[in-house]
Amino acid sequence: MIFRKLIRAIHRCRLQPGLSAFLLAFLLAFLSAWSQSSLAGKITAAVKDQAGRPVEDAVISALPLDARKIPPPQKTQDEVDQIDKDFVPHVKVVYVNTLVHFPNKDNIRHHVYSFSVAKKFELPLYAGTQSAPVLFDKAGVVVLGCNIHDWMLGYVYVTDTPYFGKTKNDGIAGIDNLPAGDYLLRVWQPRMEDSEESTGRKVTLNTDEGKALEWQLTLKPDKRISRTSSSRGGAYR
Amino acid sequence: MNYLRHTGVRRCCVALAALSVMGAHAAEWNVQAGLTQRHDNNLNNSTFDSDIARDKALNFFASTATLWPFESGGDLGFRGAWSAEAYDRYEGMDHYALTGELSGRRKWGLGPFAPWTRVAWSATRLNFANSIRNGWLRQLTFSTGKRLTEEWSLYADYRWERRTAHDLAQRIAGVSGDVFSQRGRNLNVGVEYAWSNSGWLDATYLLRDGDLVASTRIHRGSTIRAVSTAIAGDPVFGSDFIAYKLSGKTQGLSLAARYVPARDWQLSLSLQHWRTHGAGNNDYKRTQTTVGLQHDF
Repeated sequence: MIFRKLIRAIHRCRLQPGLSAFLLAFLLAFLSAWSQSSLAGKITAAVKDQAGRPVEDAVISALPLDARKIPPPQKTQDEVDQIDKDFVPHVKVVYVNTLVHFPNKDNIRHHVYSFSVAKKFELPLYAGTQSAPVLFDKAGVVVLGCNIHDWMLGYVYVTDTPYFGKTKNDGIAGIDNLPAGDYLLRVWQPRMEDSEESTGRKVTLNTDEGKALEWQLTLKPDKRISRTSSSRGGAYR
Repeated sequence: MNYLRHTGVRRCCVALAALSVMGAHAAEWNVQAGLTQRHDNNLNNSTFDSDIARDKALNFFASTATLWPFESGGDLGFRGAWSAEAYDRYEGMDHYALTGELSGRRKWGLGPFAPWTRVAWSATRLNFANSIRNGWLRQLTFSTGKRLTEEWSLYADYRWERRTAHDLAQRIAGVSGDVFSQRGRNLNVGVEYAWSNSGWLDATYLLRDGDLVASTRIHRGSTIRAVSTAIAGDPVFGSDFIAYKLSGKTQGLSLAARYVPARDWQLSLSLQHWRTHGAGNNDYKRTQTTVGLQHDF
């Protein structure tokens, strides 16, 4: 009905046939995208720790159980900054096959590395924002470090699904534009005690449906290498 | 609180402010400043209870360090430090110290768990309110360490020290007056434990072998003369005090807790206890408790 009215309106404007066809195609594409997004599902995840406090930097991934529904990974680009001798953000989530840049925004040199099975790499001493990107082509957790500043710790979480989210300091994350279907939802956080697999939940999402889920994680204490210097021992006076 | 009237303390405050400005504009330089309050229950290393001098001292310090890292893992470093210490009762012990240190460090691998070794040479100029202790302290230190886990790390260092001071007037015929020139060797072995993301405990065992300087009343001279290698008057602790040098061994234990209440700020509390066995059974004990606040710029 609405389409017919629009077509009649375009005809009333007496546009040239070529232009009217172009406008029609544009309109149809727009409406198609609009109807898809309005029909897509959404998952809202709330993550708390053992004391009921919201958990930041928890990664929620939704893996379609029907592998055909997983869009093929495209080579996209992303970045993890180094600011004030810290990795920013502390946890970065990327879809597999993403090229990640590690710009150094400090005015000192950093030496970024990872020993992780999902990606072993080393960016020897460098300064400035023009670092060679690293391709993360295998799903898993990649732990980042700096060989000069031992306290620097960061994570790249490489997912095997394009549907993911990361909690903010309120412990909430949302995954939008999920096509209807069955999903395996999982949560990962750097300090979680249990395995990521143990958080798995199967969820069926219908068209235009929103679901809210909650997880409670047991977190290990946050023990990191000291950033401040230590005057070790006591010199005899 | 006569501390702030002390020239060294005032100079230190100026240095601190200057270093703060430097730190803000040159991030490759690590700048620190802080103050500590220390109580010492045997400041003069006295063997005799009635001669023991107890006092507390306030120390201001500011230091700046820079590192030139290598791709192969390691760095060359330079550190400059200024400190001023003011005592509550024994004002002759008030002093300031200016230190320059060169160091080289090698990390044997990649990452925080790689073992490391370090060698450092430092020279410190010491200037006291009473000039008899003025002099230079030079130290050569070999250190090594290894982080075992996020919580635990081990370290050890071996240090040679040599202090040169004025050759003071002979107090006793035939015995040198060069009391404050000393040599010594130190071994420190320690362990550090992180109890949280912002708190650390540190325990260090110390073994020292070398020259010792103690001060005592002059009437004890006959008992110490036989084992002393130098004796001079020590008016810092009283007009009837002498300082004497002898050889001995010291064992010590240091326990420290550090807490980071906010980024770049550090509170510390430490207890250090030493037991010294000096030549001729000139034994003494000494304990220091220190609280401190440090800021990394």
